[in-house]
Amino acid sequence: VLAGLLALSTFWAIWDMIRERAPWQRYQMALNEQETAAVEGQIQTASAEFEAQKASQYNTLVQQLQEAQSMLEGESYQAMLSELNRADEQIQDSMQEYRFAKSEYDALWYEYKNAEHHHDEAKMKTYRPQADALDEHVQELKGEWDKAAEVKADIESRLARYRSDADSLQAAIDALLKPITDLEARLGRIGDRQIKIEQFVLGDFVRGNFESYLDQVDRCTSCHVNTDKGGYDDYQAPFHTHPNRDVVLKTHPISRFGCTPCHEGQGEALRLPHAHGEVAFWEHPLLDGEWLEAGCNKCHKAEMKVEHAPKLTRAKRMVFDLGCYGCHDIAGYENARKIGPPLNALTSKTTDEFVYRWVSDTKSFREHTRMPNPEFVHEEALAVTAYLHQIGEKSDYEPPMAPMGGSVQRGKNLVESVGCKGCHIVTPEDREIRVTDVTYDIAPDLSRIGSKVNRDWLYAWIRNPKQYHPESTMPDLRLTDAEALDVTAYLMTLKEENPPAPELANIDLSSAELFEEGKSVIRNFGCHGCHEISGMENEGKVSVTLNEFGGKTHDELFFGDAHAKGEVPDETWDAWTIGKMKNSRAYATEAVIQRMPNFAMSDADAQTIAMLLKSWDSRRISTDFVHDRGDFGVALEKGRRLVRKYNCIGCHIIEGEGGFIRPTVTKTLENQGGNPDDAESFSPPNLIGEGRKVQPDWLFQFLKSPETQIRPWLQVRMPTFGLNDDEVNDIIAYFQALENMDRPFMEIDIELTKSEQMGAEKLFSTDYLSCFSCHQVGDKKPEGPPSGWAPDFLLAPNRLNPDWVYDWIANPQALQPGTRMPAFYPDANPPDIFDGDAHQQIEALRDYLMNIDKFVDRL
Amino acid sequence: MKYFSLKMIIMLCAWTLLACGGGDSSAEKPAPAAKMEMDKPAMSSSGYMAAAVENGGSIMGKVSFSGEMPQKQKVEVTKDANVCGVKTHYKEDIVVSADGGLSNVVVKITNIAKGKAPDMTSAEVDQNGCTFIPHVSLAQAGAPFIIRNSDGILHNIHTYSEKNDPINIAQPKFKKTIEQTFGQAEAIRVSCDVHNWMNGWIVVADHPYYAVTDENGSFELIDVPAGTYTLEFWQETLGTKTQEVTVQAGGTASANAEFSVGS
Repeated sequence: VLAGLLALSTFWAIWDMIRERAPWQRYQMALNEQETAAVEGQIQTASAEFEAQKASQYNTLVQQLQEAQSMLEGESYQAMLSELNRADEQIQDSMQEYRFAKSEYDALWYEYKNAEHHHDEAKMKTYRPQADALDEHVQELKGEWDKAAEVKADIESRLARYRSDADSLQAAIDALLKPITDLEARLGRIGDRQIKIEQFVLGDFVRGNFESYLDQVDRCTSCHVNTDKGGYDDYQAPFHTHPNRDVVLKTHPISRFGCTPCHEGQGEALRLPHAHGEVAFWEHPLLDGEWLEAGCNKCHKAEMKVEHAPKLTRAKRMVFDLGCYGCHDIAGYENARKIGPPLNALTSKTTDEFVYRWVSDTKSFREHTRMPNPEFVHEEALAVTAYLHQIGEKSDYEPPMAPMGGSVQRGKNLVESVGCKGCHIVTPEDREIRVTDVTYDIAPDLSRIGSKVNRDWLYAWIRNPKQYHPESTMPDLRLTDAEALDVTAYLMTLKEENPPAPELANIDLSSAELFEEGKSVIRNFGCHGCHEISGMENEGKVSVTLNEFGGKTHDELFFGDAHAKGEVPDETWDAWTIGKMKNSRAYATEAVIQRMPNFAMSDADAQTIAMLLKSWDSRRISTDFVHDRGDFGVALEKGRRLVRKYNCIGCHIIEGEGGFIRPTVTKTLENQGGNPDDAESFSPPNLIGEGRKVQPDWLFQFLKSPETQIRPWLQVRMPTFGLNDDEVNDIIAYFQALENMDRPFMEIDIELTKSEQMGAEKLFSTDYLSCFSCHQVGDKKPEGPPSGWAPDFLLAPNRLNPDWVYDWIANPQALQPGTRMPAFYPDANPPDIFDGDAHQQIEALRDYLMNIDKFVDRL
Repeated sequence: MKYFSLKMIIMLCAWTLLACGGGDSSAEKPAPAAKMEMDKPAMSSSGYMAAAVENGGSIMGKVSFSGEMPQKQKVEVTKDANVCGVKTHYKEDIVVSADGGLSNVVVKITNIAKGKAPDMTSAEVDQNGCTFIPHVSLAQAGAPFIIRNSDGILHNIHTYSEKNDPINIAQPKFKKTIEQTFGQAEAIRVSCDVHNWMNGWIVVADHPYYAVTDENGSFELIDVPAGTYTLEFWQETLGTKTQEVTVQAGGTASANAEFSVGS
């Protein structure tokens, strides 16, 4: 009985395996069936198409082929074959005859030479004529042999023509049938596929607890069979091609990276939900949908910008902009500056009422401020206001009194034209048209500024922001004192419509008790993480490190009553983190105080930050896999942080992003009666290719003091940022790294030959390219208003890289799409200079331009 | 886990001869069959087919401007006065004749699939006296279009287009003509960056039933196959109007339109 049961159960096990199949087997079989059906369908379509369109052609060809083949069997072909045989025989015959005669001749010649050797005149006289006569005969026979060979070759070529007809007809038929035969071959290959487990072994990706690498096996492609095969984009999971195969898989081949290093999940498992890691106690389930890009950060942690991972890049920018590192330890932000302004002299800037209101609820005054809302209750707000009031009173910063006057209208025009709107929202209308890459304001919204600051402070601030706040990123727009006064006058008119009633009327803010209370609130809540505050110099970061936050488990997180109250959907890491970003006080209970200021993020922003946090865990990735571009990587990183810090992209397009000022430039242009299509050229330039375009020495000088006006038609101006030398050099290295260049010094020595000079001078003239119609040369200005002018040629020798100048003249649109500089080449090059040779003309123009400072007097 | 361990237990049970019920584990359903998109045959870009038109009709009409007559606005010539300043320049965004005829309105049939072959005899614009003449010119999609420079000074032709690749080509004194082909139907604003007041339009047509109203606001479309069509009137600043029009074989249909500021 037992044996019977054993046999039965074994039998059942085998039967079960065959009948039921593992999911990956079923997937592969289903795919094969599906593809077979699809290919069969395609064959049917192709056959139908063939019948409809190509059948007659095919029949004709087949008929011709048959004719050609029957020709091969026909009489004339056969006759030719026997002719060939005969020719062969003829060749054999004449060859033999020739050879016999030749040997006879050789024998006679030997006798003759022998006689000569023995000086036997008589014999010599006998043999010599005989030999000569025979030689003639030999030559005749040779001629016959050659002729026979020619006959044979002729027959052969005629035969080949017969056959080539047949061959080319066969090839035409094959080509006609190719679509169908190809499909049939594909069908055959599908049939030949083996059902098997596919796997990749990764021996050196992540280190375990004992310093050794952990072996990983990824079998994902057993079900996701077409991941790395092109042409399955329209298939559903799991049969589709990797959606980023062309870009991501190219640089991250599966054979080296496997799947789980990016996507997580349980690589060795072959069934769902195990394979996706969606089971209890599997620490890293599949990252999909909104969480996908967290996987990239394992190896790209140190980079601000991750190609093909826009959401991850955005999350990193948010951390940078929002200053999370003010309270939390975050790798890569060890020495970051405080993100907010110093609060030591607030009494010179604003009122106690405003401070009280702001720390109670920032959003009521500025909905989009990037400062998280402290949401202090009355007692806390009052204490903090008192503290800031008292340190302000002691501060030695006092703005000088601003002169009276200033024109509101002139100030408005200035604000609209010089470039304030590259960073600031000034009117509610700006809010409607301005679009940036984040949901918070990178610089304060000025639409109610007149209700916040005092006039003297504002005037001093506009004239020199660094005086009040040396670390400020607000640049100097080089306004004259009169202009600064106009701007002040205008901004002071921007007031809040219905300001709330004052609340501090009868409160003494100078009490020592309030001061101490305020100090403790600030210390506990960590305001000093973002702001410089007197008395807080020795305080550290108030909150936890985030470097391994992604590895926390949900039981390490405190949910309070949030789940019970329905504020989070469940008690998971995902829900906690997203909930915290949306409402940082969500988990507070009567017993547990939560101090993190409220970022009150939107669902999308909260999810974005949570995604980044998920990628911060303690796993140690082998340095072989960590993305490293060496010096270029360092340059890019430093540059990208600087671009973010100073908000260069508020005005410029850099790496294809930014230029956020453009809608307001368009608006200003429209208000001035201009054409909105011109906004492109009236906006700050797109800095595409800047690293290759300009000489590093020039860029250094320019970034240090950008007074030089390059584009006379622009109203918006490049402000002075007060960058230090390191920052300037970092920006130069960054622009060059973007062009794969590393040339901190550029020696420019362009020789101009006499013929080049003559050619160039002609080309510049009004009869030819008429360059001075738009371009200025020093004091020599073109006709018309500056809005129609083009850059000063005198800038070129010290500013431009000659290689770039050549490319620019050859095709300006390719380097700066939308530029007003028209293309003269390749079609509008004059035929009578350098014989119309475009290359020589462009070289002459470039060489002249790079030396134009020597010819100013001639122009 | 559940699926896996259940089967394991069953197997184990069998082997250790502890008879168990042969409860069949529920098999997973195979994945729903993925669908395969068959390639669709490509449509020709415009879909217009040329064929002989017999006994076609015509559409005639006049476009007029109603409301307060716009003031003629003078444009200041700031450059190359010896060439550009010979005549007085006026803004050309709205040009109205004494009797209210609105010129430079593009009239086209929007829903014609089949009709006469393209018969445009001259497709060109001339930079003449530092003005684009005509202000609105028609081009045939895919056919050569001539840009002329009659002025003998540097001009350029800068297009602001979306469907066609934008161009910005210099046209110096010695370059009398430039030949350019626009592939897609589109109204393209053109400018000359050397003389910033110069503005014009090139309207690329993908069938021959396009017309531009003359200085009296009149237009005519001929050889129109009998049928009912939608006629579209487009003016660069006043916008678009449409109307239905029915053409009888050999007959003449009338279609008038009226624009006003803010209409």
